[in-house]
Amino acid sequence: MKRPSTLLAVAVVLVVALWCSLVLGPGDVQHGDVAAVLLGREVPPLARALVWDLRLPRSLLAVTIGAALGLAGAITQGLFRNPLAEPGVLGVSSGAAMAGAIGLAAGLDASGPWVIAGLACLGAIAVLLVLMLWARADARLSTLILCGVALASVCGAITTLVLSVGIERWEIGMKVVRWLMGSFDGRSWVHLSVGATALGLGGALAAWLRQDLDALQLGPATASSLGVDLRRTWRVGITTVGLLAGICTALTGVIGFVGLVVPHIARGLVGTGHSRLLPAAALIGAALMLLVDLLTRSVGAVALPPGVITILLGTPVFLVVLSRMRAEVA
Amino acid sequence: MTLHGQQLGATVGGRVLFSGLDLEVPSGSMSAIVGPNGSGKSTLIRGLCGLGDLEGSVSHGGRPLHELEPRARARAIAYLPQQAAAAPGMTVQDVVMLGRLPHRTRLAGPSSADREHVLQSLETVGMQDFVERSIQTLSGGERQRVMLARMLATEANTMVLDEPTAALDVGHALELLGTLRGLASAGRAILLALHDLTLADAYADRVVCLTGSGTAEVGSREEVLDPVKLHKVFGVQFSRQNGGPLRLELPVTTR
Repeated sequence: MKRPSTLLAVAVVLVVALWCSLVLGPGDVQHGDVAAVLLGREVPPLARALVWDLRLPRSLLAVTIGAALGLAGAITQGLFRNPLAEPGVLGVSSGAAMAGAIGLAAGLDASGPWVIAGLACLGAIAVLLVLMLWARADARLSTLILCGVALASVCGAITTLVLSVGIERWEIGMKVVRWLMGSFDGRSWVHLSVGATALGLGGALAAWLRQDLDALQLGPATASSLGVDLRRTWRVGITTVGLLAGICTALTGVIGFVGLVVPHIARGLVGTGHSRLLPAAALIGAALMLLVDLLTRSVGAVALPPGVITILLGTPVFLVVLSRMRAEVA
Repeated sequence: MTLHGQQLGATVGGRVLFSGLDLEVPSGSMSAIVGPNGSGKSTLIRGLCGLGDLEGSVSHGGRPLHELEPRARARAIAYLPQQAAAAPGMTVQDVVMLGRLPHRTRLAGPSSADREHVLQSLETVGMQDFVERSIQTLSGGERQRVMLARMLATEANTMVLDEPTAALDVGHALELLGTLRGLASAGRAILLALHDLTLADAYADRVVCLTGSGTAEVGSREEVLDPVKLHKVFGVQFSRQNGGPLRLELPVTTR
C-alpha cells in the first residue's frame, strides 16, 4: 500500500462528515441529541424525527451510493481495461435512467421501490451488453468511449420521448423529471435498505471478481492463460456493474463522474491490485458523496441535485486524465 | 510432461493455414515454430495452450487439454503473447505475482510461499533488484524478463512464447534465448515462435515450419531448416556448411 495514512484520513473525513450531516440543517439539533438518538436514549420527538427519520437515512444513503459508484467505476475500468470507462461516461447510467423513466411513466412505481430499481438495473445491463459486444470487436479507448456516447444519446432521446409523452399528463411528467434530476431529499430507511442490499451484493460479487480483474490487467489472452474464465468474468462483472449503477440511478438519479474520479484517486493511494483498490474506491466514493450531499444542502434555499455537483467537479478531472493519456501516447 | 498435438489443423476465412500436424514438446527440450507472416504461428501457439480452437487434439502429460480445469491448465502451461500488456501503474512485483493466481483459491490473498516464489522467479531472470519498479519505466529487454518471471512463477512445466524476441535488440534477444535454453536444460519444455531462422537454428532442438501454403514440417533443426526447403518457403537464400550454423545469404543490392 502506497499511502495508508491518506486512506485513514479519508475514513476520518467520512466519520466527521457523517456526524456533521446529522447535526447541521434546519431545526434545533444539538450534538448531545445526535449522540442520544444513536445510543437509543430519550430525546425530544422533533430532534428524534430530524436525526433518525430524516438525516440519518439520507446521509447513510449518500454513503452507500458513493461507495457503490466508486466500486462500479473501479470494476468497469478493470473489466474494460480502460481508465476512462465509468458507468456515466459509457452511457450505463443513461440506460438505467431510460428504463426507470419508462417504468415511472407507466406507473409501475406504485408496486414499490424495487420495481423501478429492477428496471433501472436491466437498462444498465442492456447498455453494458452492447458495450461488451463492441469491446470484443474493437477494444480501442476512443471507439469504446464513442460507443458509450452514442448509447447515452439514444437512451437520452428515448427518455426525452417518454417525457414529451408524459408532459401531456402533468403529474406523471413532473414525477419523471424530479426522478431524473435526482436527489437525496426525502430518502427513507426503505430507500437505504434497497441501496445497502445492492451494495452488499455488489461488494460480494466484486470480492469474487478481484483476482480476475487483476489478471485482466495483463490483457485477456494472458488472463485466460492464467486460468481466468473470461466469459464468466464478463457475465459476473456486467451483472455487478449493472446492479450497482442501476440501483444508484433508481434511488438518486444519474450521478456522473464519481465512478471515474474515485478509482483514479484510489489507485494513487493503494496501487493497482483490486484487493485493495476496490475497498479503497468504495471508501473514497462514500466520503466524496457525503461531502457532495452536505454541499448540496448548504448552498442556497433550493437543494441542488447531487449529479450537478459531481459533473461540475468531475469534468475537469476527466479532461486532465484524457490529456495525460494523450501525452503518454505522444 | 510432454505437450502433444495430434492431427492439428487451422482454417481462417476459408484458407487452410496448416493441417494434419503432429508435434511433441517433451520436457528438457526447446522447440521453435517458424514460418512466414500469416502462416498461423500464433494460431498454433494459442491452440496448443488451450486458448483457441484448433482441429485435432492437444494433450499435456497424457491428459487432453480440454479436460483440464482452467487453473489446472494454467499450472501446466504458461503462455506469453506476442504483445504482452501491463496496466499503467503496475509494479514488477504486481506482474510476477499474477503468475501465482493459478495456485490460489478465489478469495485467498498472496501467501508467504507466493512471495517467495515471486522473488525466486525474479532472481532466475536477474530482476530481483527491480521488485518495486513500475513496469512502465523498464526497457523492452527488462520488461520481457519480467514477463518470463511471471511465467516461471506459475511453476508450469511447459512454457509457450509467441515471438518473445520481436521487440528486442540482438543483444537482449540472445540473452533471453540463453535464459530459455537454460530453463530447457533444467527440465522445462519450451516452445516459442521465432521470426529469425538463424536464432531458431542456434537455440532450438526441434523446429516446426509452417509454410503458409497449408502444409507444415516437423523435425530436427537440420532437417527442417534446410537451405533448399527454406528458399521455397521464404524465397530467401540460406546456406549451411558441413552441419555448421545456418547463415542468411543477403542479396546483393545497389546503394
